[in-house]
Amino acid sequence: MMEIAPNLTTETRMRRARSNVLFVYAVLFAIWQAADLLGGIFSPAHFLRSLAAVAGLLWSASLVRILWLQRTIAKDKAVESAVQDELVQHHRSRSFVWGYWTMLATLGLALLAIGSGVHLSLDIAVRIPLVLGVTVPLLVFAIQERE
Amino acid sequence: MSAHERGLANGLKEERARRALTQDALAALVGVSRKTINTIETGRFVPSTLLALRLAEALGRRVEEIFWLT
Repeated sequence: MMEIAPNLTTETRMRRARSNVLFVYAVLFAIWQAADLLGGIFSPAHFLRSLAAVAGLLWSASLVRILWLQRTIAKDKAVESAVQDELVQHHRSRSFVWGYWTMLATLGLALLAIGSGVHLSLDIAVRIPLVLGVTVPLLVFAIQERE
Repeated sequence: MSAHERGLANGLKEERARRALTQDALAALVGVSRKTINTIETGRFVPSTLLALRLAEALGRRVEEIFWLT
């Protein structure tokens, strides 16, 4: 009835690879978005624009890597079961909670600032919470998986 | 101690050792990762009923012999 997973090292390797690639993905996404946002504020912004372009390209590559990794994991049901087990689900839920509260807090701060008469463009007020809402859960998940 | 303050303790490590199983081997038997077994043994993660039952089955014990309320 119960089968022994064929390759335990594969499971560990996949899990580490996933946390590494998610960490890189989150950092690149944050750099890309921050550079793009700051590039729209400061001028001249050649460096920031170039940084945003490079980070955006690398982010796209990391996205492909994530999809490829997921495909590799899905090929082996025993490995997939171990890599998507309930501890991972628990980490995932906790990460989403972190992202939710971070987004809520930054949106609250942005609204507070706007309400206090601070000139804050809609782009900044919406984009920062969204970027953090993507980045924070990924980083929290990657960190939990590395612990 | 009131009911809501009671946590879950377990003798997973001892039962596993009695059966001369490594964390990796037990993890493979129940279809989770070694890390999950480790976090359950150290009390950092409370498994679901399903996983607790699977662990008990894999170790040939009843679930309440491995998991109990503190």
